[in-house]
Amino acid sequence: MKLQGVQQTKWMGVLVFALAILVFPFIVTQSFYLTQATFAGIYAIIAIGLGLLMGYAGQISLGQAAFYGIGAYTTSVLTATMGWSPWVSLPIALLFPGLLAFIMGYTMSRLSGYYLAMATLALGIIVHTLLVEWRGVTKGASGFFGIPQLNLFGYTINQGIPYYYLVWFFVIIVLILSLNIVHSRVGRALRSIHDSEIASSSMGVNTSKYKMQIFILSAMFAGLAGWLFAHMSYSISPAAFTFDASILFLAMVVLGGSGSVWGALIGTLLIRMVGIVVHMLGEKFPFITSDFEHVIYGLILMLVVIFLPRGLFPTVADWFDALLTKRSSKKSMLKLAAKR
Amino acid sequence: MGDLLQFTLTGVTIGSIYAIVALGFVTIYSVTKVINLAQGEFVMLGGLTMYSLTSAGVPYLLGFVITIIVVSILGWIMEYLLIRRAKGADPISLIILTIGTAIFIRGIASVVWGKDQLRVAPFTENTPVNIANATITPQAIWVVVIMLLVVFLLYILIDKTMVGKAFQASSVNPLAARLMGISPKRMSSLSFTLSAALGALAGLAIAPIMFPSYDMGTMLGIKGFSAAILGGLGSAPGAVIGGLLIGLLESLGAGYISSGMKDAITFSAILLILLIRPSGILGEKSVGKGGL
Amino acid sequence: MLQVDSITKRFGGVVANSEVSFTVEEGQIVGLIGPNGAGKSTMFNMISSVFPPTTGTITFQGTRIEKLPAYQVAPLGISRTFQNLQVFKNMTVIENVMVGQHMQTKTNLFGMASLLLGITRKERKVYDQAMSYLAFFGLQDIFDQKASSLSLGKLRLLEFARAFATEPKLLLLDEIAAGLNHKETQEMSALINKVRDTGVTVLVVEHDMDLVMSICDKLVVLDQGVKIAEGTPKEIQENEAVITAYLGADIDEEEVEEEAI
Repeated sequence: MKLQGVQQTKWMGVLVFALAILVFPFIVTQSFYLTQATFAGIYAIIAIGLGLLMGYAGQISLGQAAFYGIGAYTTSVLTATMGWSPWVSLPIALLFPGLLAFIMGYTMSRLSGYYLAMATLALGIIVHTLLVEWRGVTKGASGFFGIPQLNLFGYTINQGIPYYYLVWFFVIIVLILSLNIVHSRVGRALRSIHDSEIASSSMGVNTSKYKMQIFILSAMFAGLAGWLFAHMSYSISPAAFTFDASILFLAMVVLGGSGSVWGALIGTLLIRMVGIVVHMLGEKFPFITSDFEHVIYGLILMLVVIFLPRGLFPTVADWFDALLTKRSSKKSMLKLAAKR
Repeated sequence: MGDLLQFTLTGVTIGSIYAIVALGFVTIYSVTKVINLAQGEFVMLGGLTMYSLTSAGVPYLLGFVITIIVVSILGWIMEYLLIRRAKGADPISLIILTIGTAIFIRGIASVVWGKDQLRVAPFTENTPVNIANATITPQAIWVVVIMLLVVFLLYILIDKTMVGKAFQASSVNPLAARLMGISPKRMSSLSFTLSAALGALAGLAIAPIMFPSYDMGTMLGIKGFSAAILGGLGSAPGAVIGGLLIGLLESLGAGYISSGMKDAITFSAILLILLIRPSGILGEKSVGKGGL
Repeated sequence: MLQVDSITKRFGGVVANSEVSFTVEEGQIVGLIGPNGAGKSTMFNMISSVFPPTTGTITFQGTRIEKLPAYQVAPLGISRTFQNLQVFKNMTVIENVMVGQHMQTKTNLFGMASLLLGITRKERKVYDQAMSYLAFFGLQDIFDQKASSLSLGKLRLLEFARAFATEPKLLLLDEIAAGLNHKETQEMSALINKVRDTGVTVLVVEHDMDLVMSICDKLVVLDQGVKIAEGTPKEIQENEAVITAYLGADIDEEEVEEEAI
C-alpha cells in the first residue's frame, strides 16, 4: 500500500535482496566465500541494531561487542554445560543482553553525550574481562568448546549452505522488523527528535522512552548474532568480543550510513569485502598482513566522516533520486516541447 | 602494610601516566570540544620513536627532544588534515573520526615497528630502591616527577601567559574570543600539538617500564579518557585526580583481588562513581548532547 | 478550563513574570498581549511545560501541570505552535502532521515491529486523517513536499495543522501571524475562528492588534511581567493603564521605526 509523501518500506527492495541471498550459494560455491557470507550476516544483525541506535536514537555505543558476547556465552553455557536445547536457550540469549541494556539505560539515563560513550566503553571492557577471567563458567581465554550444533526437525544445520541460509533468514527478519520500526510512528517520532526535540515532546513524544527501547532492541539483536555465532562455531573465545570488535561494528554502520537500515547492511557487506580483499592480496604478496585491514578500516572511518558524513547509502540513494528526477523532468520537458 | 605501600606506589606511578594522558584529552576538549580517542596513540608513538632513535645510536637526551618534536608535528598534522575538515560535525562523528585515526596510526605502527614489545633504556641507572618493605624503581619516580612537572608547566602556560589566556578565552566563549582577534583555528591546532607533545612525554616516561608495542595506545587512551571523564571533562585538576584514582584502583584491585580482573574492577568502579556523580568529580553540568 | 494562579518566574536575577493569575474558559479565544519584554512568551512556555515556574500553579481541567514534562502535558489536551518555527524540516508536510497524531495510536516498538498487517491498516487510517487535517488548513496540495522547502506563510500553517492534529482541547498559538502579510493574517484569523468552532479553546500570544481585537473573546494584558488588565477587547481598548503602558510603548516603537525609514 503506497502512502505518497511518507517514508515507507520498499518491499520490492527487500524482495530483490532476499532473492540475491537465495541465489548467492548457487553462483559462488567455494566454501571460503560461503563462510565469509555467513559471518557477514551475523555482523549485519549487530550493525542494523547499532545503526538504529546511532541514526535514530542519536546514541553511540562503544561496547556493542559486550551484548554480542553475552548472547554467545549465554547459549554456550546453557546448551553445552547445562544440556538445554539451543532453541530453548535462544530467548534467554536475547533476554540477557536486553536486560543488561535496560539496566544500563535505566541507571545511565542521567548520563549523556560523551559520558554515555564512556559507559558503553566501560561495559565492553568489563564484559570482556569477565569472559576471560570467570573461568568456572566461561572456561577462560582459551575458549569454550563443545557447543552443540543446531537441529531442526531432526536435521542438523551444518556449517556451509544450511547455516548460511539460517543466518540470512534471521537477517531478513531483523531487516524487516527494523524497516517497520523506522517507518512506523515510532520511527517518525525518532526522526522528528533530530529536527526539534522541543516540538516532538510537545506532540506527546516521550523521547527518552524510545531511545531506551532502541538501545534494548540493539542489544537483543547483538544477542541474536551471538547465539548464531556460537552454534555455528564449535568453539568460541573472548577474543571475538573485544573493543576492536565493537569498533568494527561501528565502522560498518558509519560506512553504510547510520540514518538508514539498508546503510548498516550495505556497510557490513563492504567492510567484510575489504577484509576478504586484504586476505586475498596477502596470499599473493606476503608483506600485506592482516594489519593492513586495520589501516584500511581506520582510513575508511576518517574519510567517511569527512567526505560522506551521512554515510555511503543515503548519499548514493540521493544521487540516484536526483538522477531519476532529472531524467523524468527532462522527459516531461521533451513531451511539452513536442506538444508545442 | 608493605603490600599496601607497594600497591600504592605502583598505583601512583601508573596513575601519573593516566593523568598525563587525561591532561591531553582535557587540553583538546576544552578548546575544541573534541574527544580525541587517538590520544593513546601519541603515547605509543612517543615510546616507539624513542626506541628507534636510541637503537639508531642517537644520544638519549637528543632522542628525547626529537621524539617530542616528531609526535607534536603528527598532532599538528592530525588537526590540520582531519579535525579542521570535519568542523561542524556532531560529537558522535567526531568521536568516530578520532577512533578512525587511532586505528590507522596503530595499523601503520604495527607495520613499521612490528608486533613485539620493545625495550627502551631508562632515564637513569635503574636499581630499585627499598622503602619500608616496598621497592620502587628510579624510573617510576621519574614518571611521577614528569607528571608533576607537566602539571606545573601547564599551570604556568594556561594561567600566566598570553597563549594561555587565549586558550581560556576560546574555551569559555569562542565567538567573543574570535572578536578579540584570537583565531580559533590556531588555538585548535595548538591544542592538538600540545596534547600530542604531552602524549609523547607520557610515552617517553613509561617506555622503560612498560616495554612499548604498537597496541599499547588503545588501553592507555581508554584509561586516559576514563580519567578525564571521571575527573569531569574539561577540568585539569579533575584529570589528575581521575588519573591517580584509576591508577590506584587498578593496582589495589590487581593486588588484593585479582590481577586478571583489574580492568573489570576499575571500570566497574568508574561506572559506579559516574552513577553517583553523573558529571564527574569536578565536572561541568552537561557535556555533549543527547543522552538516553 | 485553564487556571493560572500567581505565577512567578525568575531567570537568575531577572523576574520575567510576577504573581500573574488569569483563567481561560472553555470555548473562548483568549489573547495574551503586551509590549515587548512583557513576559508573554515566558508565560506561554510555562503553560506548555517547556520549563516550570519558580512559584505558583497552573491547573488544566483539574490537573496540576506546572511540573509535568512536555510529553505528559500533550496527552491531557494541550498543544502549541512555536513563534520561531519548530517544524520538522527534514520530513514532508504530511509526515509532520502524522507526528502530531503520535498519541492517537498506541502500538509500542515491539508490537510495531511484529504486527505487519495491522500496522499498514492503522497507518492508512492515520494517513487519511492527516490528509483531512491538511485539507482543513489548505495544505493538501503540498502534502508531499519537504517542510524545508516551504514559505513562511505555509510553515506557520503547517505548525498550526500539526498542533491541531494532536486533537487538543486547548491550543496555544505563539505569534502565529508574525511575518505574515495582511491577506495571510486575515486568512489566519478566519482559520482560528474555524478551529474554535470545532470546539477547541484557543490561547493566542499576538502582536498584531487587528487580529487580536477582531477574534478574541477576552484579553489578558501583561506589562513588565505583571498583569495590568483583563477584559473584553472593548474594555481593554478603553482601559487607561493599558493605553499608557502598552499603547504608549507601541507609539514609541512606531516613531523609532519611522525615523529609521
